[in-house]
Parts: sequence; C-alpha cells; structure tokens
Amino acid sequence: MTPLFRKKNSEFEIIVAGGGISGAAIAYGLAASGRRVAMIDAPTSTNKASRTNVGLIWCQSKFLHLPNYAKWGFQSSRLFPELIRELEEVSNIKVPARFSGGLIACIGEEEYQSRGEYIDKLRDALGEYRGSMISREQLEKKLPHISFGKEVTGAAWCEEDGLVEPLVLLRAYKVAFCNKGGVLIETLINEVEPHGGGYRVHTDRGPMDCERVVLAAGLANRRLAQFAIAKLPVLADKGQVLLIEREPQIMPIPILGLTQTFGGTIIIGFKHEFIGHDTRVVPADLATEGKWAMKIWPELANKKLIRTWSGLRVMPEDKQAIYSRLPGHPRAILINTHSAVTLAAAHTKYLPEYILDGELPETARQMTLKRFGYECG
Amino acid sequence: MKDSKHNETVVIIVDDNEVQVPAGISVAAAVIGHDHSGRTYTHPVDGSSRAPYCLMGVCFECMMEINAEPNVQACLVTVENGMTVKRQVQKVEAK
Repeated sequence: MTPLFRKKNSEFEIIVAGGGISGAAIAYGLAASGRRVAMIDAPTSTNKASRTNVGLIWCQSKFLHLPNYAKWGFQSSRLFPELIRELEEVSNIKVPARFSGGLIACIGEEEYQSRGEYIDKLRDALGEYRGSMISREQLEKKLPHISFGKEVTGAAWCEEDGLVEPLVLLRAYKVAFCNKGGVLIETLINEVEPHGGGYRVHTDRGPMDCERVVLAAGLANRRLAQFAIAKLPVLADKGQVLLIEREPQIMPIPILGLTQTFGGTIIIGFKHEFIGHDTRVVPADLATEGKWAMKIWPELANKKLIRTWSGLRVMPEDKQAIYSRLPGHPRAILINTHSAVTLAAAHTKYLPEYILDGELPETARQMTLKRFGYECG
Repeated sequence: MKDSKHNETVVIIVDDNEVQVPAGISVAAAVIGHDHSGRTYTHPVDGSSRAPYCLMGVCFECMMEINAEPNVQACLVTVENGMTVKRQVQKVEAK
C-alpha cells in the first residue's frame, strides 16, 4: 500500500467506482463543488468502453419512443462547448472538439424516406428539432472532398451533433479532477458492501471507506451492485471497427458509422451484437461494415486498412440511461449509460446534486431503476 | 533475414539515387541508414516531419512509396535489387 492509505482504511466523503468517461464526468463535477472524492479506476486489462469509441456527440434520429431521453441528449450537446472551455481551463489540456453537426448517409430511396418519416415524428414528439433530411446535392456541399457512391440518395442532418476526441476528453476530466483536489486511485475493486452507515470498497490495494458510493463502472456495475441488486438489467453490446489510414482532414462533419478522427484516421463501424463478453474480432463482420462504407464512399476501396478492434458498449436493457439510488441504499448511486460521451456535459452539471440527496433534473427524472420494478429513491 | 556474414548487398533506388545496402534488411532500415534529410514522411494532418519509429509495423510513421505504390509501411518490406523507393515528404492536400 502507498503511504496515502497507511494510517487507516482511507476515508472519503464519496468514492466513485469507475474511471471511464461516466465516472470521470461525475467525479470531476463532485470535486469541482468542493467534495472530498476518490475515483477508483481499474488497470487497463479490463473492459473499457470509454477507450474503444470514436467520440461522437450524437443526438439525432433516435429515441422517438423515449422523448425525454432524446431531449436529455440535446440538453447535453448544448452544454458541451461550456464544458470543454471549463475543462481546458482547469486541466490546461486542449480538448479537440467539433460542434459541426452530424450526418446519416442514406443508401437508396427507401432508407431516405423512412429516415425522413422518423425525423418528422421525432420533431412532433420533441416540439423542436434542429435538423432535416438533405438531398444528395446538399450533402455534397457539406462534404465537398468526398465523392459519394451512386446509391447515396441524401442524408439525415442535425446541427446539434458533433465530435470530441474521447481519449483527450477522458484525460482532461481526470487531470481537472485531480486539480480540484480529487484523489485518483488505480486498482481493481473486488466488492462493495454497506459498512458502518457508509460503504466499504474492497480493492486490490485494501479496503477504502466512504459515506457515499457512486457505481459508474460500466459492465462491472453488475458485479459491484450485488449488495443491492442480484441482476442489474445491463448488457454487453459488442462493436467491431475498422481503422483506415491517415488522410488530410477531409471530413469536417462526421457521418454516423464513418468518421474521421482528429488524427486523420477514419473509423468505420456500426454493429451492435448482444452475445455476452465476446470480444473476438470476426473478419466476416468487419467485411460487412467495410462494404457498407464503400457504398457511401467508394474511394475507400483504395485506402489501407491499418487496424481493427472490438469493444463492449454498456447497454441498459431498454437502451435508456439508468441514474438511480440503489434499492434500500439512498447513499449508493448507480449510473449506467450507452451514451457516456454525448451525455458527459449533462452528467457533470446535473448528477452531483442528485448524488448529494437532490433531485434529478426533470428530463431525467424517470431514468431510475423504478422502471424495472425496483423500490428506490 | 539473410545471414549478414555473407556480406551480400543489393542496389535500390532511393529518391532517384542508387544506394547499395545489405541484403535482407527492411526498406525503412535501408533508408534511415543513408541520407534522408531527417525525415521520410510528412504527416498529412499537421504537416510535421516523420521517420521510421517502431520498425515493427505498428506506428505507421514509415510510410514511403515503394515500386510506385504510395503509403507502404517501409519497415515491413524487404529490400530487393532494383527496387524504387521514394520518401513522401510533400504534404498531401485534400483533393
């Protein structure tokens, strides 16, 4: 053990279990409001959804059946420029971000029609929607360096989407957290248990005690929440991606599933597979994704593929985020979401208050575990 | 790789200059063993100067044009007699 923990079981006001983008967004928010917080992040051999994704801030064309969840995404996207400014100031790290809007390219008339109908319904449900279908000609104007395939009919456009460099966002959050007095501990958590009116977190570096615990450990929340919930309704959602060689910046606006990173490489991928903790990279699956991308942008056929990888997203069973006190444990709070990047700004701004006995903002008030039949605050 | 005790060499053409190099080595090794003006590649996004780094196919800093094919990882190709190699030092512009 390091000297920090030698005197006694280290005691913190709040322990955030999990150092991905979700955990870091909350831990930073709590530390910035003056709380004594430790964030515990596992060594890198564990599953880490925050380190396998492309960094889209994505609001459009989703959650018609959950309008508040759709609104929650837009709220966070609008808070993002302010978050980035704050993180850059506190961390002194430049965070590449692009509030450029986003595109979903359509192949064929049928897809163009059905996406248009979905957006019309979403606009009605939300009362406001800053996006629309655009023609192929309008798409070509937005991305003049790309020669689109002949089957491309147009795109769904939304001005509130964007892109952030996710690894730098995570690093900036962690540095900003430490600069606000937070304690970052790298070790594996084996178990969390109620203890003396608070919680004891058992780690490979010994036990650590806290008054409140926030479980933000992604898929590992299923294990850590065992003291309160036997079977957390959260699933592993496998993605597989292809990485194309570095290009000059030719995609100032991301296309869903086909995005140029700030380093110039291009990431292709869109698959969602619910097959448990399977992280194999399957060439046939990658081929499906590559063929789709070449229909959008045929010149990709001449580019070199430099890497492929897979990752496990964190997906609540009904796809909606979970922000909840655990049943019988008002000071143990759980967060699980598939959209840790998009929602980061909202998490930093609003969740600290909820963790400290406050309310969730109205848009997110229905996102507790109550919807799965649990009794919880 | 061939055993160097045989002292075999091949001649490759680097940026229009013939150079004699040990047989069996990689193109990246051959070029950085000769005059390369401090760089072999220009980063297409930020324009910075790059050169072979990891020499094992991971970092993608050693891209060169080999036998008229651009963007080849020079650390993964073995030199051959008569091979033409060009450094990619001009910044690529978006078309």
